[in-house]
Amino acid sequence: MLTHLFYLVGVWLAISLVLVLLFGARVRHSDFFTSLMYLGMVIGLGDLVCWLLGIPIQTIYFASIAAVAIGIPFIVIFRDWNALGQTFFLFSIAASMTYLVYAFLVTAFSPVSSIAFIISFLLLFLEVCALSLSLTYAYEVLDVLCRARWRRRPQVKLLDKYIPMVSLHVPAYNEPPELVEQTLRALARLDYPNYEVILVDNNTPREDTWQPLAAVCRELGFKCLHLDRWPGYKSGALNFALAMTDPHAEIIGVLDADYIVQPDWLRRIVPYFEDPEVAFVQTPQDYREYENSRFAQAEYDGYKYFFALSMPFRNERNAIIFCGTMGLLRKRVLQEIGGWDQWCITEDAEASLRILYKGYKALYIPETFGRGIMPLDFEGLKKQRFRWAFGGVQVIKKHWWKLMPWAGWIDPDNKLTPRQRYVYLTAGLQWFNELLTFAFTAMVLVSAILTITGHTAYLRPTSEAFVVLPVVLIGTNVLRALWGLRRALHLTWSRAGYALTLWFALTWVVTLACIQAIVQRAGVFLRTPKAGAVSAALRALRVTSFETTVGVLCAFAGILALIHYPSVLTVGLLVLCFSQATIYLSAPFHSVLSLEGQTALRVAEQARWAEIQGAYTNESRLGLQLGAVVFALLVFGLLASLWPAPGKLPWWYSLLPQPPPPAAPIIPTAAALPTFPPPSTALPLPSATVPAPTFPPTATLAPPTLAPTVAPTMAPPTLAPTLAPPTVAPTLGPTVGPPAATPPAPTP
Amino acid sequence: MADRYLSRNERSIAETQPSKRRNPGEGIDRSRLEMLLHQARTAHSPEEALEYAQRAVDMLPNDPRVQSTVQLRVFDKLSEDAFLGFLAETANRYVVEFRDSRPFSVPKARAEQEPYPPVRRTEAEKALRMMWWMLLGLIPAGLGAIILSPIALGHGIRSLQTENQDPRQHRMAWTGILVALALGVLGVFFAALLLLHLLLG
Repeated sequence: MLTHLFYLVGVWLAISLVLVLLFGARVRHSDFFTSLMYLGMVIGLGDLVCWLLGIPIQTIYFASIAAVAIGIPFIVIFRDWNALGQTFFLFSIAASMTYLVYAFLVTAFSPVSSIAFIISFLLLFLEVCALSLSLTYAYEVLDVLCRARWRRRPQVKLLDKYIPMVSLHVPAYNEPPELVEQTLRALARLDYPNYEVILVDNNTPREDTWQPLAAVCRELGFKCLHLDRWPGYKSGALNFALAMTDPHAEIIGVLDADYIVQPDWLRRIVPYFEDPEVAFVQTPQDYREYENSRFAQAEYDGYKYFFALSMPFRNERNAIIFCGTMGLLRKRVLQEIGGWDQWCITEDAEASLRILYKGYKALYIPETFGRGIMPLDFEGLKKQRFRWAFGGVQVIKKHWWKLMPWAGWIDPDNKLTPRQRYVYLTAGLQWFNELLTFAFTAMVLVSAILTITGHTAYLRPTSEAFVVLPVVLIGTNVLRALWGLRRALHLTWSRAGYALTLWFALTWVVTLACIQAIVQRAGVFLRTPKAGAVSAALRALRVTSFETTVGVLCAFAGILALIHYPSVLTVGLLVLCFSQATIYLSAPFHSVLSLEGQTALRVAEQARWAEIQGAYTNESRLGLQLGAVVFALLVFGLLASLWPAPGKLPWWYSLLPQPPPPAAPIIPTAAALPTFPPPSTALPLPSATVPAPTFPPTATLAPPTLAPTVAPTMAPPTLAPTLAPPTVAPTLGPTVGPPAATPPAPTP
Repeated sequence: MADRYLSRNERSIAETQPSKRRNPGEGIDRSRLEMLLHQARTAHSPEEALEYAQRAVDMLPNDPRVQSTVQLRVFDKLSEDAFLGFLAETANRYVVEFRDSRPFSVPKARAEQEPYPPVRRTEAEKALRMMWWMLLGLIPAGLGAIILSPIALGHGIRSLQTENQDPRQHRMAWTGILVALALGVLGVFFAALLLLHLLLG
């Protein structure tokens, strides 16, 4: 019954996916009856397919009734979405839940050794996390692309009588003077009658770097502060700038030192502050000089994704983040929350949460008013992403208790709505998607090595269902990610592919950042391996040496496993290994790609200026530590393979409903693995005919995590902070053990 | 006057701040404050102006007019040389210096933030924080949650026994206890499954 339900839901999901990809972003209409009819159509179509595949009519009948019954309240809850989005999300949840229930039953009630049970439990935990994150990404993408009605889209406002004084703060550290001069001169051209500009240069070591800027400020009538030996990095400098702000200023603007703003920025944005409840207004961070390089385009598309999808999604829930540049906020509110947090390295996103906690409103205006410069090479991007991910996790670490469902009951001052809490909590947790990806990679790698060395460790038994639905879910996630990129940013398939692989490429560094943010008490920055005096290409490869190592290991392990034990199961393992290898090898690919259209000199020059101040953590050391963890896992796997497996079926199996004895073993033989089960195959639960744990390895696919849709968490960082990328991570699951040549027959 | 900052540690400076009084502004000699602000505005040199402004800061640091005067005088000086060195920081002011100048203080003009990481967590916070460890403890077949659940319950109960407690801490303790119970029960269920597998072997 559960297996059949499993396939039925998979078919519904596949049909709704195809339809949403084709028409989901085009339909701008939503009403209850249309949605109900559409839901009925998808269910009917899926039923027909499953009936043809031989699934019992009773199962189809009852499952369809249940789907409609659950779908009706679902349509009401998501009434602002079109029917395609509602139905697809309904079946995404249904498929995930069905898979997890199925996986739990098989894990809990299969006759495996106690160690295998514990390992299977770990896998189940990873699957729960991966699928939950995947659903959060799906929700975000669908909420924007399938939305028929926007409730909080701001109307254009014109400057009228309300002309408050604005104080613009431009923090700078060791920036090229000519770059900052461009920024200052653009600010001098602002078409707004009442503003001041404070350039805050903190701790720049060389006087010949900041003195020219002080001269420019004098020429333009701006204020300039060079802060020496100043604590707190950027937020420390901004806090002092706040103390030095003209007392008449009502609004504070923060602008990165490389941003060239349009003259109408303040004139267009300040009027939104007429509403005293509005605490901050954010506009997109945009970039220049990206057209001539595929790497820069991919980077640009990744950034834009956040502002095209994540921010509108957040804005509907009054849960946007202040991104640290191109945003304005009310000075009184900033003073009320105590200024910028000097502990968190994404102080902008952190401040947004504290502001919303007080019950203020925030607005996102989806119109570009300024453009900055992106990191020129992969190394720069890697360091930036490390900072964002680290800061994103710091925010969760500090404020998680404000985001819990019971937070309003504990603390009546907490004005965060449930929707705001959901957005902030999931945005923070989405960073861990990369950590999950790494965990799956480690399990796949260990499985492959055990296979090569001829050891077998047992996981829960594998059935066809464990292969089919994860494949559907992984495919769904990848397609959804590409669809989101293409539709939100109007990209070609190839450009969306580049953006997606660039997200993959950052998996390693986000993993490191998550771990570091959990274990470190204070913020640290990433120091990549030193390249010395080598060519640009070698340097590009050197900075991705760990990603390359992991990727190459995965690929070779998969190939060797197949050579040692050629079978369908090891082909599956090879596919898993290759998919993980693709993720990590995207890093050297993009690192080399970043040299396109650049001179090595320019890259080196930018690297010199872009050096960040602060405490560093060494990537080489972190890489070795993670390698040690994988090694320990491998040793554990080897030990587990020596642990005796139970020789008989447990007594409590007799308490479970027994299916009619199938003609063939349910646990797939290698040849049966990738196929749909014949209608007669009933339960995945172990029955008397199921061979006991001596089964061949089990390849168990982990669900996909691909998360996101790729997407992002993007939080921009400091932009926000968070840009989080993708999640695509696939997730595969492990298999452990080599295929046993012939599983011994169980003795019931 | 500003030299005194050099010989005091940060805590002692913070304790001398007028804003620490219950009612800032209470007991202030207003006429003297006005005189200092006037002198700061009309001084012949930035150094002299800052000297007067400093005295005003010492009297009433959170007054907007005082802050405005300090900012104007500091930027007067910075227009010649933008250098400003950090010396110390208290809860409500910075102690800084120009190049080769005497130290002076600048009011922060903002509320104090909640300190993080906190120096000491309350029992209720410890009980609730234990939730994350218990969630991780569910992975090894619930064994970790079973071990940690009584510890979390202990923190929660100790918190409830505290007299004159902040209602928030009280509610947090109850939440911690309920979460610990729920995760503990889940841990027992998973451990029971493990036990079945052990018995089977």
